[in-house]
Amino acid sequence: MDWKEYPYIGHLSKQLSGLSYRPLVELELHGLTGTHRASALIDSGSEASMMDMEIAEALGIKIPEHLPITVSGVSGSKRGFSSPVSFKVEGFDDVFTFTVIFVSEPSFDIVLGQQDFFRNFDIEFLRNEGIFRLKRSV
Amino acid sequence: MKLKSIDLTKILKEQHENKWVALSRDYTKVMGVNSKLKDLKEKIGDEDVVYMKVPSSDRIYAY
Repeated sequence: MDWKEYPYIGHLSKQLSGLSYRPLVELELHGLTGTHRASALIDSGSEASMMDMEIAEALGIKIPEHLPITVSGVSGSKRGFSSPVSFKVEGFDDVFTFTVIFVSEPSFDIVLGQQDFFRNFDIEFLRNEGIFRLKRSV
Repeated sequence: MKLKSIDLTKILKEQHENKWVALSRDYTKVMGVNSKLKDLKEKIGDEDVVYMKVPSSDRIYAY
């Protein structure tokens, strides 16, 4: 299968010389309320895939009162819950169902981590060319 | 070398930070902005857009 090529996306960063480029890929999320197209950060440093709880609400996923999962990062810990989420990745026809951890106000609204995304895709980061590439892993 | 990357600073300004935005599929226009994703989606309806929460420019993110 061929590699698919995607551009890095630049956001304003006052701390990093004006621009911060990130590998963001579009997802088409499938929920009870319909589809939701969103950009997602590919993050090799994240063990799991995570989303903002507002996306759970948008997909029709019920948010439990008790949040049983603790997510830790450099800025501290947050409580969350997990739920399966089905989606397609821009450029690919496959529909994936990953277990996603939902937390309130994460640093980035969707993060694709090692547990599922990196198992299903080979990834090449070509930061100095402004692109990254994805290919389904065999 | 000419970068192929997309620069969102042309359309996303400080007033968009920490809010949900709906972008056109070619990333050239902001179609809507709101502090709540649910409210933004209700306003946008069936338009073909990409949603994202705009990160703060005051922070360096380590994930």
